[in-house]
Amino acid sequence: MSDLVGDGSEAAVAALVDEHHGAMSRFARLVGRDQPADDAVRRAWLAALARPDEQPEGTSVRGWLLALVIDELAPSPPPVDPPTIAPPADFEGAGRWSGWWKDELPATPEPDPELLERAVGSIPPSLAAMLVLRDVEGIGAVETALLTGQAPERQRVLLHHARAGVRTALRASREDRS
Amino acid sequence: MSHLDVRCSSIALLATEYLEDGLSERQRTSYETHLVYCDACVVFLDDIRELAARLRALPPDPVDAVERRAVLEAARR
Amino acid sequence: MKAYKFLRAGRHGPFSDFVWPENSWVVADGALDACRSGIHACRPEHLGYWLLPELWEIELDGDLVETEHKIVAQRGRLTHRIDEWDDAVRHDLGVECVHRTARYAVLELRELGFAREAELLEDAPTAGELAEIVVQVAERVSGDAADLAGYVGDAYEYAQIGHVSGAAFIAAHAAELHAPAGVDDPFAAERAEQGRWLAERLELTG
Repeated sequence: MSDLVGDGSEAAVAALVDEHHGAMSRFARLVGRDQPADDAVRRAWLAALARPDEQPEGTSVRGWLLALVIDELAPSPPPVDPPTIAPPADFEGAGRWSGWWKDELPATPEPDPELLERAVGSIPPSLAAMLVLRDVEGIGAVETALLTGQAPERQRVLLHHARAGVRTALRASREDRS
Repeated sequence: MSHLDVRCSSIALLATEYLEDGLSERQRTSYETHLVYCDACVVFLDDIRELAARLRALPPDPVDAVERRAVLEAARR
Repeated sequence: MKAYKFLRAGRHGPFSDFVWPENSWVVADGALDACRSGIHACRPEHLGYWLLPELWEIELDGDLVETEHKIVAQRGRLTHRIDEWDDAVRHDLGVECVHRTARYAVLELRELGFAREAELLEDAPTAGELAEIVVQVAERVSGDAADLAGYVGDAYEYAQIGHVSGAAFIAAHAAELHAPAGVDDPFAAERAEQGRWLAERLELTG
C-alpha cells in the first residue's frame, strides 16, 4: 500500500479510493448489518492512509483494507449454533430408499444480486465476513489466514456453514415466491 | 461399516472440504463414489459451486461522491 | 500402462467441468497427490465404483500412485471409447444387481427363519417379478430382512430407469447390511464382483 500511496498525492489516494471503496462499502454493509457502513469504511481508510506500511506481508491491498473494515465494525456476538444444514436427500429414508429418484430434481434458478445479498445478510456476521472475503472477493485461504488469524481448516468450517446457510435462505425465499 | 457406504448427510457436511481439497484420499474416494450414483448430491454440490460463482459476480457498491470527498479530505489532513 | 476411465456424457470429467480431449495427453498440475491432483483411472476390479455413461480405455504415464479403488497418474491419454458399454449392458448389469440384492435378502430371510419368504424370492424368475414379490415379503417380515426385501424393489426401480450406478450401490449396501459370514468387507467384495462381471462382459484386461 505504501507504494501506491507514494507521496500521498490526491491523485494517488483518489485512485485507491476509486478501486477499493465500493468493495469496502459492500463488505461493511453485508457484514455490519445495522451499523452505518460509511462510518466503518471511512475509519478504515483513515487507518490505512495513516499507516500504509503496516499492511501485513503476503496480503493484498484489498484484503488489508477489508481487514481494517472488520476492525472498525463493532464485534458481533458469536453464533450460538451454526445454521442447520439440511442434507440434500436422505438416501435411507425409513430404512430403505425414499424413492426420490422418481421426482424431478429441484431446479436451482439463478438468484438476482438483491436476493443473494439478502441471503448473505441472513447468516451470522462472522460467517458472512468469511463468505465475503473468500467467495465474494476471491481472497485465497493463505491470505485470509494472515488477515483474520483463522487457519484454512477453520475457514473451511466457517465457509461451509456460510454457504449452506445462504443456500437454505435462497431456497426459502424461492418457496415464498412460488 | 464400510467407509464407502456414505450417506447424503455426510456429503452435505463435507461439501466445502471437498471443494477446497481438504479431504484425505480415503475421504475423497468415499465422497466421489457417492457422487457417481447420487444425483441429488451432485445437484447439491453444483448448487454450492454455482453459489460461489454468483457471489464472486456480486457488483461492488458504487463509490459515493460525498464519501469519496470525505476520505480525500481526511487524507489531506 | 493401460487402465479404464468412466466419464460423463461428452467426455466430461466426473467431478469437474473438464472435457477430456481424445488421444491427447493431459498432464496433472503440480506434484502428484492422490487427494488433490493427478489423472484418475481404474483397474477392471474397480469398475463397479465408477459407473458413468462413457467408458474409455486410458493410457497412463509418469509417476503413478495406486490406491484401494483407483490409480492416480501424472499424465493420461484417452485412447479409445469402449462402445460395448451401451444401454444393453447397462440394462443387464442393472438386472444382475437386482438379483444380487435379492440373493442377500434370501440369505438374510433364511438366517432369520423366514424360509417360505426366502423361497418366494428364490422362485421369482425375473427381476420384475422379484420386485412384485418383495412388496409382500417386506410386509410379512421385520428388521434387516424387511429392509433387504425393500432394497430389492429399490434396485429394480433404479435398474428400470437405467440408473445402473444406483442399482449397483444398493447391491453393495445390501451386502453390507446382510454381512455374509467370513467376508471381511462385504461392501468391497460386492463391488469387486460387480467389477469382475463387467470386465468379463466387456472383455477388459489389465
